[in-house]
Amino acid sequence: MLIQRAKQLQQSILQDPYNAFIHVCDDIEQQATQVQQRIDNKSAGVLAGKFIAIKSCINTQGLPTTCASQVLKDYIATYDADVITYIKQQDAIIVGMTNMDEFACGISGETSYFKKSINPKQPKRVPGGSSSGSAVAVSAQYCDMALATDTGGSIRNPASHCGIVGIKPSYGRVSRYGLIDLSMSLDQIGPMAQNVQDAALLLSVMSQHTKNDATYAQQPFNMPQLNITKGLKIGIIPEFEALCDPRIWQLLMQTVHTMTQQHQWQVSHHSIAHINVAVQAYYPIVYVELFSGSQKFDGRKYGKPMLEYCGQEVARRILGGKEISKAEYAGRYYQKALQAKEAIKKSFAQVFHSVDIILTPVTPTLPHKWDEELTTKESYAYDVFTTPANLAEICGGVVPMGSIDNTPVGIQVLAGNMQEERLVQAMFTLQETLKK
Amino acid sequence: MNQHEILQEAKLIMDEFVQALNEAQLQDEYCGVQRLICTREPHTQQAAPLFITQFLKNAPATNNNCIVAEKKRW
Repeated sequence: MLIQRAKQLQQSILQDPYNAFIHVCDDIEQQATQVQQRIDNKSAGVLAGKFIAIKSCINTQGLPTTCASQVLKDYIATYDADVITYIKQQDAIIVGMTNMDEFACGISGETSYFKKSINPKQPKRVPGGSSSGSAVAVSAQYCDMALATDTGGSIRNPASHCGIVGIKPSYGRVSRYGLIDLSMSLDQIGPMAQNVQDAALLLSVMSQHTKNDATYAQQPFNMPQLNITKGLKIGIIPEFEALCDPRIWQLLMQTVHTMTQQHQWQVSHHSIAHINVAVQAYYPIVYVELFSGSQKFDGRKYGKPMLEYCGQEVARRILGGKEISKAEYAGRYYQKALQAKEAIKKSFAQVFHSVDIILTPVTPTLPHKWDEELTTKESYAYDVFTTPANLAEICGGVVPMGSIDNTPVGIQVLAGNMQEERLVQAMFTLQETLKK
Repeated sequence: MNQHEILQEAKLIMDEFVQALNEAQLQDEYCGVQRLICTREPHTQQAAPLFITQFLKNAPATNNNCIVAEKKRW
């Protein structure tokens, strides 16, 4: 059964019209055979039978870990990231390395050096990014689950546009060892899946203890029994309405109404201090930390020199980060952005004293069409509803909410730091209610 | 766009963003990350199988199991 499915998946992935993958594993059937033996011996792990795609910025030994960049085009990972070790231990079958925005710098999937991924649910519009290929692979059913990363919305944005489930864990919940990160203080590895059950299961495997990452909080997430949750206290951020396509906001309000009617969820409105400058705080942090983290790509031990071979958006962030982190600007950019981060983090913590979760749209508009070109500032503004969770170090997830103009639209659920159990229970309740 | 033009555009955006942050009246407090444990434990695991082989394959130039890094390129 498993081997048959492996054959079918491999065939369909090799004919993939959506450009979900940069590299497809040639041993999918062999992996499936080994897992089937362990299933037969009753010694299989909890991911046995699950086919998983990996974002190309997560080191996976023996596979191209290119970050969708010409800089690392020929780089083969020499070791496994912690999350890869954990999913292998639980008998996941790895199908390949997915396409993405170059070094995770993008919101649409368009900055990949290799090719542009196509949204299977709405091919006229971009699939979202930066985890474009992971979302497309799940959405096109080339795999059950995918590993992705989220610095300012890179899991939630493409999950919404491709009509799937995605979770950005709290900062510190999942080991970042082996991740080629965009921003060391914001990035988290998280799951994408066809449903909340699979996303939660994958998160529980990914979040195991590690000694390899000093930012890991030593708090594994244990898979709970998922149930319909009644009487949740939910918060709405009213300031977001003015920034949002009215059709998306209306869909959100309809969903909130449904949940209050069917499950007695109680709604209240809350303002988050300084949330209006979340994007303005997010980008200086990303610029400086990408500049800092990218200095190792000098082409001496592996890859090619970064600035000579990277695309324009990556260059913009590195050059900008280099400039604003000069000693003469000390305290004016990065430190100021960290102060805003701290203020937003404190404000969220305050609000989570009175609500269980917060519901928001994922993006302010529908994904743009291929022939529409966004300015740099327009593309940065696209992160307005997702960056606050990264700045506040809280967890967030996306569940499909409906569609507008034949384009999937997700709902964002936010919960407090290390409140993933509450998050997945709320996401499960939304999923089960909205799919009826 | 050449690198100079890219830098100019990036600096303009950053200036605009920091202007908004300045107007936000943020509290002037230290915002470093403080961790009680900030060192990795000594690595006791063995290197992944074929680590050295692949490491050398990734390098642009090698000589007798050493990576050649010309001084000129630094």
